[in-house]
Amino acid sequence: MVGRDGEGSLPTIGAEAWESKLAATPIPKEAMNKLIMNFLVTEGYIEAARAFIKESGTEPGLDLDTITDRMEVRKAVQAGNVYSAIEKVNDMNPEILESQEDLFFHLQQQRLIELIRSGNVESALDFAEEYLAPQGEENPKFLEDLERTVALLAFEDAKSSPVGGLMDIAQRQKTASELNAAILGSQCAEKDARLPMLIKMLLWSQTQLDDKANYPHISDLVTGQLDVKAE
Amino acid sequence: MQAAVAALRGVAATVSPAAIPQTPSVPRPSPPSVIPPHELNVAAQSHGIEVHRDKRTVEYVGRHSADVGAIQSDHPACNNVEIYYFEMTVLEKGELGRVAIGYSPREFTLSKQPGWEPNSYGYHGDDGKKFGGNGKGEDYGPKFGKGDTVGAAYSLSTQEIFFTKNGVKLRTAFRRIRGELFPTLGLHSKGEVVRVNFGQAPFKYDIEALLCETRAARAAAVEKVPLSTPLVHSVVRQYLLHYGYRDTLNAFDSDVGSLCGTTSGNDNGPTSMAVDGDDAPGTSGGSASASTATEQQQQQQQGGVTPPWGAHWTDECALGVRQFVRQRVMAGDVAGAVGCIKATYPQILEGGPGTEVVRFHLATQQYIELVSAGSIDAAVSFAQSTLAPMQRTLAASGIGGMVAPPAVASTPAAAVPAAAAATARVPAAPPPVAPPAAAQPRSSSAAAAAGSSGQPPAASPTRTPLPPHPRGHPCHHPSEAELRDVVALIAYECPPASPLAWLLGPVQRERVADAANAALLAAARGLPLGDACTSGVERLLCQLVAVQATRYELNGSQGGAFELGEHLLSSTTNKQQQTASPMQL
Repeated sequence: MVGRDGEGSLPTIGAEAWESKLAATPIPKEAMNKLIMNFLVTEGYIEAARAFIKESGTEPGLDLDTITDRMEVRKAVQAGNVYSAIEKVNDMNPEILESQEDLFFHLQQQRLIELIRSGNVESALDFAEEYLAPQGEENPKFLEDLERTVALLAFEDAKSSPVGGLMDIAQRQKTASELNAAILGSQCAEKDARLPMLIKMLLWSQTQLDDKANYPHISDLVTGQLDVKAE
Repeated sequence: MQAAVAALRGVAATVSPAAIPQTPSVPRPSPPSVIPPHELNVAAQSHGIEVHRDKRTVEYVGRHSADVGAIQSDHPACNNVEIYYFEMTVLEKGELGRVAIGYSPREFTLSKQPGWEPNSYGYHGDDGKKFGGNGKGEDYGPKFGKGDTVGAAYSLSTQEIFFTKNGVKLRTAFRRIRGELFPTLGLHSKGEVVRVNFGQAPFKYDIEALLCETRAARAAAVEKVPLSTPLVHSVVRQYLLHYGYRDTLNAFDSDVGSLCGTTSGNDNGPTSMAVDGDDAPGTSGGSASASTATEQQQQQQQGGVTPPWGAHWTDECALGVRQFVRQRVMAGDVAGAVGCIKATYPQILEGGPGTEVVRFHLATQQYIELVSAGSIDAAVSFAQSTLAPMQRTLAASGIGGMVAPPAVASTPAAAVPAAAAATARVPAAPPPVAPPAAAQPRSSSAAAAAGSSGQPPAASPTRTPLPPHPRGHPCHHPSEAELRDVVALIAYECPPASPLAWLLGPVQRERVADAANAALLAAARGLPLGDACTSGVERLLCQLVAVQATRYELNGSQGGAFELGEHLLSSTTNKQQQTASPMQL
């Protein structure tokens, strides 16, 4: 079934042999339900989590109300209402922002970006000077980010400038994710859902095994069907 | 009557917990059956050396021209860890300081230094050279002598050996090392004294830190694998669709849409699904985002955002029916579920090929619900009408993989057909006595029934390969023994307190719901009803386990084995777990 290695060519495992390997470890339904629930809850899809509790009987594993607050914060950042998000987070737990300078800086940076986006140049500059400059002075890394952000003002069309990426929605989402992770951390919950990690682990381990053997892969992650080899 | 009741109860009592199928749990890491090295193997030491009473200190007492005095540990290096490590401290240099540390195989000649014989490996103190199985030393590291502590590491996962000196790691000495090796010490001149440490004392070199670093590096490599959020969403959706969790699916679509769709005014499929900054297309982005506009339009959605995958996927078939059936089963209303199936996909209930599994589950569950509700008469008549023929079919087809406790074999198996004979004899007994009363005629007529049913109660010889699915998996083919277990439930006055109580729980209902779901999926897709019914998530996880197992095998079945259970969630919520053993990758 599996040939000896070290002879120049890789051992090959055929489809049939592979199928029986796959069948060797059944995955309990309960474990999979938990993975799905963990995903819904970590990412903050509350209504889905609530529905899943009813439909599958799986426990959410944490207080759904804490998710509501966390999602309010996330939505606020993703909508560009950073100040509102900061207020909410401080209501939830002031220590989160107090203890994480980087995060706080990124939030303030996002506020600046939103001010610039709104076209309010004067306010933007005032804000940068009053709130961001002091942090920039203390930490050269912050200074660099600050300079890049302020540079947006130098361009007529900020979006197409070299620093235009800061204006993207993706930047808001990045900040939102960072804040989401920090809140989860403060609640002693894992900041990453397990399911994506397991999928990545599958992809990674397939790459590792490629060095050692020929075997059926899965490339279609949605259906999980084994790739059909074109012989 | 009392005797008969007692007899039946006694029989029922022999349904030992061992017969109860456990929810198939992911196999737990087995305790290392390998005993780690603890001390030196004094039973097989060469002349010329003397081991002190602590069995860790050893001294060379012979003359120089005599043989080398080598000694091994009592047990070989553990092969179920990533790296095996031990250290040796040189207490006295003796005349020539020809001390050595390394590894050697079981059959090693103990009158040679480690590294002088094939398959052995050594690092020698007098010249700092390494020896890899022949007499030729190669420059390797610094010399070592009195007061120095050297260590030897056998990295089973990477098949390498390296050494350390006084807490500092030296470079890799040997590669492509496999198989059983024993920690080995060597001495060769008078007065040399060394002491070995197999972990009883803290090591000079921080091997744990190295292990943590390696694991962290691997975890980081996994983390870096590109995987787009829309793709993960598709995987989750497939799962919800596959099992018929319709409300969750709708809520999920709506939650996702509200979280990221608000800023952009357009809702055209994939672009609006880009939720996170890590937008790198997943490796299988091909299928996930390849859906064309027409495909998206064709798929009639439950409302909300159009999911970004191709049209080859049609699991929405019968989603409403499947959701309804699951919901009814989970609520204990199997009759309602069966009614729905009759109205929509009646072929599932008609006894064709591939329907045995789902019909078995639905029938047994209906029986269980009746017993559980206390409707004993209804349960008995149901057993006669529906379970008895099923039992005959199962017995005749010879599928009986599980061996039930023999004592139970005769009575409940005959109980079903015997119930037919028994009903005539059951008087109108007062309700609390009903179960024993019903039981009593059964046991007394067991002998008579055995003759009339004509079926040997013992399991017939099984056919060739049983389906790989274990009990509890929706595709698992039921056995006669399992039917007997179910029927036996009626023998207990208080089923929830009986050894068969597990039949009454939601886990059992879920099995039935999953079986019905699988059959409906197949029917809706027009596929043969007995076909495989695994969700994408299940296949991904099985593949992960298979790939890791293969890597482990190809590595010589040494080094830490991958344990999926470590990465799944235990029942202790989403709280961060203090993992004592870091992730094995």
